[in-house]
Amino acid sequence: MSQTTTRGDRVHGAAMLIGVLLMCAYWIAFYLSDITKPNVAIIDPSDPGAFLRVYMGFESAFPLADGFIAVTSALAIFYLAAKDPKAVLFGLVGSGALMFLALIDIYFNVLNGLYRPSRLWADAGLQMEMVINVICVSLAVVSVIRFWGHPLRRA
Amino acid sequence: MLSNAPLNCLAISLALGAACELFSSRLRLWTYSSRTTLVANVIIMFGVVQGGLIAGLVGGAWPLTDIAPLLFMLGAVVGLIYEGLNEFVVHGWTWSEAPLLGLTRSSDKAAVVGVLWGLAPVTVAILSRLFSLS
Repeated sequence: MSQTTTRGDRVHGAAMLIGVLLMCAYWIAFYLSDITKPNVAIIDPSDPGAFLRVYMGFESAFPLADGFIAVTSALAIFYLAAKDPKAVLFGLVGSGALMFLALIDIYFNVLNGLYRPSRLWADAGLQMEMVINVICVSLAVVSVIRFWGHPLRRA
Repeated sequence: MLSNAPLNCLAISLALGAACELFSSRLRLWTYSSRTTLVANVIIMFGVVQGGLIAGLVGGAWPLTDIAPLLFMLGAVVGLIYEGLNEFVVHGWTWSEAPLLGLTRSSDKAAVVGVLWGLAPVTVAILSRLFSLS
């Protein structure tokens, strides 16, 4: 455990911390406001109530799993600061879980036509979803590559 | 309607914080650098942040089964940041030699306690519903 924290580690840790804080902010906004939710009247004008029930049922199942990602990622940041090899363990667990949930979310959106260009252009909630999906996949891939190649893995 | 009001949660959280500190001081789990840090920990971290803001404001009127995962997530993330700041920057309290849940290294103790902070807003939300005055 004699490794020093590199600039790359600090940037990676900061990116993960921002991701964790954004995840917390998203769920606070989800429960306290409507800004994260898509306009269901655009998605299904004939029966917006039916789609709202499906969408809310789907989204409401995420917080426990997102909490797992937030806590494991925060532990990875913590142990990265401590220069402890457990950073690699929690980093890989959190990144894998992040990719898994991002892919579930993306495929739900694709199957239900939420990512059709006509809907995307008209709905800020869907645009936010897409940005979150892209960030989640990118951060998961970068984190897995960095943690797997990290000197702490061989410490 | 005081069942989920931030003030109700704040009061319960202060009592919970005081009880935790009393319990930990009996077991000599950690030592504060000053009495002010101890009081600030109970009032600000336990009372205002975990109780008033997370359990009270975010917990709000949502059913516990819906909101509990979010309360745990917020409590644990804030707790890990708090414990990390103390461990690596502030050093407001130090861990004793006594093992905590089988752990002996201070960074491991701080990490576990950071995650356990997640239980604070969940416990406060449960107690605030049990002791609802409405």
